[in-house]
Amino acid sequence: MLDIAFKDLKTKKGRTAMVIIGVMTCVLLIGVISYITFDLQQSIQVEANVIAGKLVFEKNGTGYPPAGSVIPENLSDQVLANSVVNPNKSSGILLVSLPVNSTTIIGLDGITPGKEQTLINGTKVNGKNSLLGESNNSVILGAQAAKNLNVTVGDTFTANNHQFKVIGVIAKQGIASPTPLDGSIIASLSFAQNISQTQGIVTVDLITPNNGVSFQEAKNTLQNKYNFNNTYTIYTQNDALQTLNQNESASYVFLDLIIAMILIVSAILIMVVMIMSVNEKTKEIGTMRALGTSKRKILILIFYESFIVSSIGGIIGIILIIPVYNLFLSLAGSTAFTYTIPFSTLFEVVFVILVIGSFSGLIPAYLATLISPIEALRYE
Amino acid sequence: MNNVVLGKDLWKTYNIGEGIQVHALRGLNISVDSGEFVSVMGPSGSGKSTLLNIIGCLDTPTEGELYLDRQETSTMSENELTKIRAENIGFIFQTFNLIPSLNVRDNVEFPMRNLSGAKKLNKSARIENAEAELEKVGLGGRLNHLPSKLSGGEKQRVAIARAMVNHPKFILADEPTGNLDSEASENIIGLLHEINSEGATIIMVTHDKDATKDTRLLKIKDGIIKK
Repeated sequence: MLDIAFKDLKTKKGRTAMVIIGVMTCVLLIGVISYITFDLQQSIQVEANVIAGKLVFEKNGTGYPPAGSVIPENLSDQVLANSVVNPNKSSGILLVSLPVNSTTIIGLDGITPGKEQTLINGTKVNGKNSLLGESNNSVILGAQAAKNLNVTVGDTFTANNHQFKVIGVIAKQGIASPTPLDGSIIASLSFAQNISQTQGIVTVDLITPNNGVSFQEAKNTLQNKYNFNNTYTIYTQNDALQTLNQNESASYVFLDLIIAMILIVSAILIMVVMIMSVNEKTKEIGTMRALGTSKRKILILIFYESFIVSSIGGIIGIILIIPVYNLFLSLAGSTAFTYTIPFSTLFEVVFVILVIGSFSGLIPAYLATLISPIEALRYE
Repeated sequence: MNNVVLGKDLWKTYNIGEGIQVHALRGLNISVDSGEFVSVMGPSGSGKSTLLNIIGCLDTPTEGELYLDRQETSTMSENELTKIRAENIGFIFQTFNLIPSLNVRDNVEFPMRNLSGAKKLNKSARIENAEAELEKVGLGGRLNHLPSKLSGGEKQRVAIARAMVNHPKFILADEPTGNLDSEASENIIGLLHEINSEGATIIMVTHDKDATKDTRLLKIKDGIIKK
């Protein structure tokens, strides 16, 4: 019956094309929205990865990222001096927003010279990977920051009436899109405090527990000792992920709702077209039944037709996801394009095709089996 | 004699609501032997179509017994009747009823897809048989044409080939010349006589008196066959 289904679809080219375009559009929309959700989740993971393997000590209520957190430097030093803290891999950090020009702001991370690995985490650096012994205005740039500023090792640049000397550029961390570190400038804490006029203050302490001390133990110790009046809090990467996902939960729900609506509307639309097709085929079905075709074969025939158009439309839709998504990215100002579909997105659109193909065809197929041959043969 | 069709005391009653019953067949008896060409004539509402539907296993009698090739069919299930139609009955309709999306060859090949078990054929055998039947009806050169490209007479010849392709026990023709001009009608009736002379059993419902020439005529009125 598969060949008959194909021939039937070929005969009704206009309607077949209409249904294929409908399915294609549905799959494309769902694929792109699913990709957006995936990218959102990825970017959240990337943000949270900044503090992978670390604890963050910050002002309570500022959440993650902790841009609004303020900790007195002397308190920061006390925390870092605690026995549960690894002093070589922990540091207070001042996060500053540095206007580079009228349209560009780059994140500047002020850190105690010698503690740069707290942020760099062993990533390869072209040039020097430490500010120790360097001039106060020396900086290490993330790959994307260097690209945006159009500078390399040895260059100087001016921003916000301050001159910066580039002594190192960190290799690109992000694969699909830049990580926070890729887009950052690392400077000495004193220089960062100077240019932002926030002397005596840091934003957070980024803490690695000492050898033999578990995350939970370090967290509990520091929480108990330094969280007077609930002023400060300490959290892990998982806590940050939770916060970030919670912040985006409304977006996820909204996007999922859109996907569900597209799916339902498309399935109903295609089902209606298939029911129309069955109605038109009443006499044909009656003839087939008179010639000894079983109800089961009639059901399979209609089901095949629905499945074929869904599959063709779905495959075209899948092929178009990447170019359309890249178009969406370029319109949003991104230059980091994608060339693969995430497995979760692919799984979702294949599921959509199966649902549309099977569900939308099932009811019309069942209705076709109810057609009485006698009534159908009389049908005009 | 070998009865291909034997109907005993066939009744078909329709309940049309409010306790009203309509008897389309009233104890009709019919017998058709193998190799016969039987014509059934009668006015509108006489029960011709009902009789055709019952003999064709598209419907079952309310009462009575119907034997097709000595198999009692009146109490068979829908699936069993479907199988009987596939293997034992060839249909020819007034409006041809070819499948519009299939070409001539595929239309004639179609009934063979419904064969099962030992009678099942592979695709190449089906195509070979279809082409052979189309040659017999003089349409060997129109295999790839869609029905929309054929004249009425040609469509009915395709329908005849389709009805014959499974070598059925008998052929049911419902007004086969009803939609044709006189020349095409004559050709079709001639073709039916030809296949009858080769041994096919034909039961034809018709309004056309001329078409009943050289056939055994049964006149049906008020749901029974008049002697």
